Amino acid sequence: MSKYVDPGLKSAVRDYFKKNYVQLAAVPRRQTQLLEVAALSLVVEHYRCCGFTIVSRNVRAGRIRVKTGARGYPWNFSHFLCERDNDRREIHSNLSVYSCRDDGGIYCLDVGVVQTGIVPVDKIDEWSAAANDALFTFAEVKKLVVYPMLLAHFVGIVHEVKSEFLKGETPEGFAEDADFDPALLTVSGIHGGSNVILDGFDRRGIRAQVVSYIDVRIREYLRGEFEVSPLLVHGGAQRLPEPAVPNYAGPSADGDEPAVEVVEF
Amino acid sequence: MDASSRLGSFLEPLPPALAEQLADYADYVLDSLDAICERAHVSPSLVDLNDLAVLAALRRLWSYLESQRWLLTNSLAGLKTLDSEVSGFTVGDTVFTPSSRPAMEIADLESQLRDLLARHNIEFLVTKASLTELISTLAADR
Repeated sequence: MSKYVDPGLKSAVRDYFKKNYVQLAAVPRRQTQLLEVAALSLVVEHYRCCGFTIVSRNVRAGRIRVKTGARGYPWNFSHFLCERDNDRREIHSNLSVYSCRDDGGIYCLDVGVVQTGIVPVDKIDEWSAAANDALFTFAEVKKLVVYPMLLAHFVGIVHEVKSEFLKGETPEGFAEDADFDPALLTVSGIHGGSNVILDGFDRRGIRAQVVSYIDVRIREYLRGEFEVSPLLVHGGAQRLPEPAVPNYAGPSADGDEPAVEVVEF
Repeated sequence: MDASSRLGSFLEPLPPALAEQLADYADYVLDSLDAICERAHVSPSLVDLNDLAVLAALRRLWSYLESQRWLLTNSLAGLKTLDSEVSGFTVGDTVFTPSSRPAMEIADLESQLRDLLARHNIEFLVTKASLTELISTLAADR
C-alpha cells in the first residue's frame, strides 16, 4: 500500500473534482485571461523597475480594461504611459501594428511598447494599426510548452514585425538599459528539443527571449523573492533565481535544479 | 508507460481540458525523473511512478490555483500602486476584483484542496519548493 496515494485520497480527490466541476472548468480559460493581464502587468512592472514613472490611462470606473484580442479599438481600453527623463513609452495590450515588410500586413501583439502619441486615446474615424517605426518591443504570451514549432512561430513573428532583432540590431530609440528584447512568455516549460534551437539562436546573435512558467515567476516576483524583472534587458545583467516549479528540460549548469527557465538568446 | 496510463481514471471526473493539462505535467515529471533523482541523490527505483503521476497532477492543479490567485491579487496590487483608484480589471466580459466571483471561486477551490491535502497528510506536495525536494521526500518515506 502506498504511503501517500491510497484509495481514500483518490476517492476524496475525485469527490472534489465532481463537486467543483463547473468552477474547475473555468480554470484553463481563466488562466488565459489572467495571463493576458499578467503579461501586461509584468511589462509595466519591468519599466517601473527600470526607473520609469508609470501612469495608467483610460481607467474606467476604477477598472483597468484589458484588450484581449485583435477586435476592438484602443481608445476603449486602458494603457500605460511610462516616462524616464527623455524616454517615453506607451504600453498597450493586444496592440495592432503594421508589418515591418511594407506589405500592409497587420499583426496583433499581446503586449506592445510604442512611442507615445501614436495610438489614439480618443475615438477617431479610422484606425488600423500603429506604425511599425513606433514599436520598440513586444511580448507574446502562450500557455504552451515551448516546443520547437512554437519557437519557429515566435521567430516568425519577430521576422515580420521587428526583423532587426533577428540580426542582433535594435529599433531606433531602443534603450539598452530598459527596453527588453522581444519576449515569448509561457505558462509551461521548455521542451527538451528546444534547447538546441535556443543555443543556435544565441550563436546567431538573435535578440529575443523566452520566459517560461511566467505564472510562477510573477508569483515569486510579486512575493518580493527577487527584485529584478523576469524580463531581461540585453547584456545578461539580470539573471534570475530559479522558480519553485522548475523546468524539466534538463539539468542546469550548476547541477542543482533543472535547467534555468529564462533563456536569453 | 505514460502518465495518462498510470493515472487511469483518476482525472476522469475533471473537465477534459484541465485533465489534459494535468496529465501533460505529470508526463513531464515522469520524463524527467532520472534527472531529478540524480539531483536528489536518490535512485529512481525508490519512487513509485503511479504515486508520482497522481501527486504531480495534484501539484499542477495546486499551482494553477495558487498562481491564479497570485496573478489576480498581485497584478491588481501592482496596478493599484500606480493608481490608487484602480479597484480591478476587466478582461472581456469578466470582471476581476478582490471580491468578484472569479476571485471567490479561485480562493474556495484552493482552500478546499489545501484542506484535502492536509487531511491526507500530503501538504508537503505544495510546501516543498522543488520537485527535487518532493522526490527526496517520496523516496525517503518509501
